[in-house]
Amino acid sequence: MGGAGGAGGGGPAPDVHRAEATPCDDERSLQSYDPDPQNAECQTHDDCQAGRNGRCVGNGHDGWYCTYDECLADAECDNVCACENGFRSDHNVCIGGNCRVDADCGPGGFCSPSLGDCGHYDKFRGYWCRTTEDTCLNDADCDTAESPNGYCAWLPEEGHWGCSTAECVGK
Amino acid sequence: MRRQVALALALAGCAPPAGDDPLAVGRRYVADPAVGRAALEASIVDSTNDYSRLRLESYDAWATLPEPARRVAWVTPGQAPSDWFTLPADLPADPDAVRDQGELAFRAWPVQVDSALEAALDDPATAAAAGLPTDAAGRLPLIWVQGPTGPLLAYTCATCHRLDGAATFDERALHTGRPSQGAGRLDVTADGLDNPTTITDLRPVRRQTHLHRAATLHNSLLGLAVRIETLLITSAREQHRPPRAIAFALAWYLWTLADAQPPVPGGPGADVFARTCGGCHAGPDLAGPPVPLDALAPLSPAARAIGASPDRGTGTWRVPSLRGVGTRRPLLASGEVPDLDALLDPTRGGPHPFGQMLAADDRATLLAWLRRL
Repeated sequence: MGGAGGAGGGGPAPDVHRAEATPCDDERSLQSYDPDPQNAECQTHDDCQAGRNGRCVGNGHDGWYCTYDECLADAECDNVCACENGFRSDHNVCIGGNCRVDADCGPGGFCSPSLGDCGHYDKFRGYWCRTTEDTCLNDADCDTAESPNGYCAWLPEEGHWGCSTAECVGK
Repeated sequence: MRRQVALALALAGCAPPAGDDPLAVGRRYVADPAVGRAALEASIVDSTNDYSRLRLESYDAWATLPEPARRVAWVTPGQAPSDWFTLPADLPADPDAVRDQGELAFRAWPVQVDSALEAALDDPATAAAAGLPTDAAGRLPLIWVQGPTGPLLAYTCATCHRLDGAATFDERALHTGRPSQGAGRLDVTADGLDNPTTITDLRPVRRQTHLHRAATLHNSLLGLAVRIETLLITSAREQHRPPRAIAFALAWYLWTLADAQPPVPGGPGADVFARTCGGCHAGPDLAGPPVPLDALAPLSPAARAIGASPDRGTGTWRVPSLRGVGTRRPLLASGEVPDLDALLDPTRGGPHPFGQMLAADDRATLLAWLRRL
């Protein structure tokens, strides 16, 4: 992807946007877990040697398994290397979208990370340019009495940002 | 078929009007948003929970959302989307045609776009781990939908709700590539609580007195249609809405699934059931009115966590219909028990202890009977 970009902005700055690409650090938590042998592919961090910065992570729902840093910088990804953005873990992962940094979105544009359709149960799914069609700027615009826990997200079917209350399919 | 349809409506308290048009109620719903509004208000048990408040406050505004034509294509691993088609948006005249339209929408209506589904398309092992089998035509239970810049992958009803009774979808496996202990469960409530519920077996939905485990809604054909309509709207992040004909066709399709279920057998198993389970699971539907959550709490912490959610809670818990329980899995509120054998295992302990203390021969008789449902 590498920043397909948008047509520029000029609107107010969202609270969260990516002015520049900052590499991730090379550190990971050494927090230890207590795997259930019946549902574990690893028992200790030392069991995770098939990639960079392997850690044995998990819980009773997901099982215990190794996670690795997929990247340290955008250059290793099609789009953005999102630091500590791994699913229920702290590993770096590549995520998509249509921009890497604000400059990809045109003059005065902003490139922001968005949650996906599982909302707060997951982390950011990608970075997308803010558009003139957006109906929200920050999560606070969407966290209302009618829609508690709402958040401002990229709407792939609409092609702009808007409020969402989605927390996985089926609501 | 007409007699079956009339019977279905009568069972649901929706007797067809004079003139023998079993779909008359659906036609009124499709033609007039006020009919949907009235059905919504009639279905809500507790207007103070978040689920109900959102719908009561937003339903009229949602009527003005756009109804874009949905261009979709089946999802076959290794193949680019092709043979795009548009889902019909009108209600057919014939009940069987409505059922067919509902079945198509069940498999093809793009309920919610989610880029995480690409993992299932890219890797057969991940699709298997996520409980997404391909059908005889090699298709995954997903759908392509045309987005503003290209095809997008979306859930359908069939992604999660298999009609063989087995709930296998494992959302976590899409992210990890491996099966988790969360298979067959989803946390669909935006309440900040970790309270996943077992994915519902929809085959006996007509037989339930209420919709949702927390008994959020009184059940009826129109109540189900409105429940589906609002689900499709919230899943579309309130940006667009389905035609009411789609929502009603889906409800009608689900309503007719119970027609294929065999009659409740008699015999010694029925006697054991009546004295062991019949206090709650009663009548020909083997269901019953909701029970107070406080009475249930000591028996099932998971049910308590779901039923007490500010999102859907009503202070009560639905007594599910046991029609089809022989092939249903996993069981109980949050999939705590994998199947019937485990449910009645006297060594199991845990929630819902009913039947565990039966003598071995009575237990075997009951199990054999339940498997025939």
